[in-house]
Amino acid sequence: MDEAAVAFDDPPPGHDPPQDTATAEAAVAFDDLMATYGDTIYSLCLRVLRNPIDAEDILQQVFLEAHRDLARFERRSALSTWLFSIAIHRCKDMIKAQRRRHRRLEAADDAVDGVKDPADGPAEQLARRQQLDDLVRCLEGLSSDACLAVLARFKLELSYNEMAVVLNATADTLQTRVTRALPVLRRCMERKGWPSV
Amino acid sequence: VSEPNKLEELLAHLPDSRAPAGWQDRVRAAIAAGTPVSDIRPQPSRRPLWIAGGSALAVAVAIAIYVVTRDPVAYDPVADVVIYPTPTQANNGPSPPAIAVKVQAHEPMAGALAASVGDTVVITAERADELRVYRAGALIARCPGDAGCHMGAGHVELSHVVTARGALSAIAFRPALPAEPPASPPASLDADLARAAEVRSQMVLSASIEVQ
Repeated sequence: MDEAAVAFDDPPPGHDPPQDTATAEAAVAFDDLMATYGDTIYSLCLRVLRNPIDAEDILQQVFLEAHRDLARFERRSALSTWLFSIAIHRCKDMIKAQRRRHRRLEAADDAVDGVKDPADGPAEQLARRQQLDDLVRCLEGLSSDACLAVLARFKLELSYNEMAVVLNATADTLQTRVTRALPVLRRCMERKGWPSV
Repeated sequence: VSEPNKLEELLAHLPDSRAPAGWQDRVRAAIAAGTPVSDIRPQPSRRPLWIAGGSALAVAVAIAIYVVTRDPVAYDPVADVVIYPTPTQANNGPSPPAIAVKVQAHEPMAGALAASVGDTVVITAERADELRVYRAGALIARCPGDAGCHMGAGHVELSHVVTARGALSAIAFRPALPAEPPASPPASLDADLARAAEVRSQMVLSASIEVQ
């Protein structure tokens, strides 16, 4: 993520822009923020919630909340971390709503899709794309909590301490959750023809 | 068997899925309408964000999704969003505008409402006095006011030749928006929604047209 792409820096003292200019600049900066992080947040929500409508709902809520609270953002963390935190909170809320809605048990962590997909394609790029597609399918076999923890750790690159704040669990618990999920993913990938991950 | 960290490296490089076209316009519109975040917490029912508007809004935000009967080639499914008034309010007053979008494509694309640069997008509104077209929140065409505009009694039609990629959306207004004050900033979706709210103009937002 290129933090520099989002220009929310304060103007230098004595150089406050006119209100209209400042408003326009803020609007442009907010557009940049949406353009920079929108797809990443949508992807996170889509993979965790597995429903594109819910994922877009959350995406919009994240940026509405960000727009509301941006002035109070204290920069104690990276802007991206702050946005991802909002997204994770909202995803967890939605997971709870889904659970209430469906009153279904979460799939067990090792209940992954056992269908073996051929990993063909001579070109390395094609093979990697297939590998990533299979990994997405394997992630769908994890519980929502495990999937969220794995993506927060490796895709969003949050530290366990940062995750602990937003996921309302201890860093140790989250590390354990991730550590247990990785072998499940590896076994799933092996079944899909990727033994060396 | 496993290379250390190979799986972690793959996870870090998972490609992002593209968020649905027009989501940024919907966020801007919700911001302009003053939709409070507290009113749009995740709901058990799966509803677009527009539905979640609260009573404190300067503009009553609500949704009615209409799937317009499609002409197999020329028309794609169109979902209109009635921004104001809400369907309930509309029951006690005149019907809100209706909007339809047709893409005159060089090579018709199946599925989503999509166009290519050079195609002509024809937007038709009934019970409306003005049409405006936006790309990424910026006003790019209006009727009346731009070439390709045709108006009749309560009927507005704008033929817009697409010149750039990006998601387009259109809004039909009734009554038309008042003229911009002199030296006002360039018209935008945000500003137009705010001004429409001030004059209590009825508004219907078209589905997004993805220009590739």
